[in-house]
Amino acid sequence: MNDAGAQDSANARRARLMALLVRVASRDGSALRDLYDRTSAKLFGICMRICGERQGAEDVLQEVYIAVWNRAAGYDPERSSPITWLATMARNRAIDWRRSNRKAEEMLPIESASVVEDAADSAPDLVDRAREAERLRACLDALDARTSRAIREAYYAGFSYAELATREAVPLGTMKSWIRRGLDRLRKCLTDGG
Amino acid sequence: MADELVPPAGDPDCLAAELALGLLDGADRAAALRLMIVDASFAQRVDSWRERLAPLNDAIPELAPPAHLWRSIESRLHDGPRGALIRWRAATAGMTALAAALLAVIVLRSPAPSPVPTAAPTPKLVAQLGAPQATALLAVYEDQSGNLIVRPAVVDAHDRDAELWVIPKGGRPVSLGVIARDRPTRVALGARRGLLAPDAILAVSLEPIGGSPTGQPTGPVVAQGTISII
Repeated sequence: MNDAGAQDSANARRARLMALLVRVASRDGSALRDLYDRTSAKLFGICMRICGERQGAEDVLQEVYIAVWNRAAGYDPERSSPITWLATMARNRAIDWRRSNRKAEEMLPIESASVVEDAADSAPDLVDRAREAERLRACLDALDARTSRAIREAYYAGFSYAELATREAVPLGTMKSWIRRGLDRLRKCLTDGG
Repeated sequence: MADELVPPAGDPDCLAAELALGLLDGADRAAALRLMIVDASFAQRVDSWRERLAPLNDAIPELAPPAHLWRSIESRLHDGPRGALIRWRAATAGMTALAAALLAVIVLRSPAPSPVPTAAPTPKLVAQLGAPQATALLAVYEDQSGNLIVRPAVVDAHDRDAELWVIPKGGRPVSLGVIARDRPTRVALGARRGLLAPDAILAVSLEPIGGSPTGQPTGPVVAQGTISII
């Protein structure tokens, strides 16, 4: 598939998800089922990554789709793409679950949070998305290694500042300084077109 | 070196990134989530960061949930209040799944009761535009600015322009202008904003480049639908 065709396909995919969200907002159960079939594997992957255990991830995923059912009318296409909106719902609920259920000794090993970044982007129709992913990866790699690692761990595993500080055995204030400086540089790298 | 400065703790963009990343805990997280509700510019910063970071999701392996999970979800769907959405459902009843896949969508936000953003959900106007030629587009009405933002999602018109029309009940089409095929178009409605009534029809037709020469639609209508309040 060439780039233009791939882009059409990505646009069609986005439009389809938007149309499904509008139908879900109208309390159309078959639309929710369709949306679930198209997105649940992605969202379940996110929930598993952050919850770190199957039962928790299943509970969170249920809550996510119930929330989609009740809140789809609030989806604003000017603010986010449909898949990012859905992924954010999954991330937020998984993080909430983790914050209230985690035990200190249950933290994921560092490797499990950093290995996945090298996984191939397997979505063939998301050409722009693949470019964005490449760009983000390059900007993260441009940070110093410990900051880059901390930011990726925060995203993939849902670690808070306090947890990251404990893992790296540095004071909380030090971890905050690393990450805030890193985020500032990351934003500049992503927005400066460089 | 300015580049190496640590942003101060209160920096809104930094706080937005911290929330989007999931770094905040307890009261800090709750406060940032509240700020999103009352501060639109902060919410926009958070959304920007979420979109910036979203490509990281692509590296997370997909994982099929167990089959019983859908049944659990389905059994809970009708627990909550169903409310005023039913009216809108009536307007769309009878659409087939195939037709729905070809829908264009218009989402319109009704005027806010006060200029101060609040946590209360604002009611919305929604129209679905049936699209016989699989042209899907989506528009959002910004009540503060009076702008209609039209986002063509799939436009297949190489030698023609897509023109947006509002048709008042019992009236003639009024042009809202040509919409770009590759990026969002902002239509300043001005005095025409009163035309976006719940019983009006919105339509998109294909016209010669530059728009209809007659002031009325001349080409095929590729999307149209009525507006309903939900």
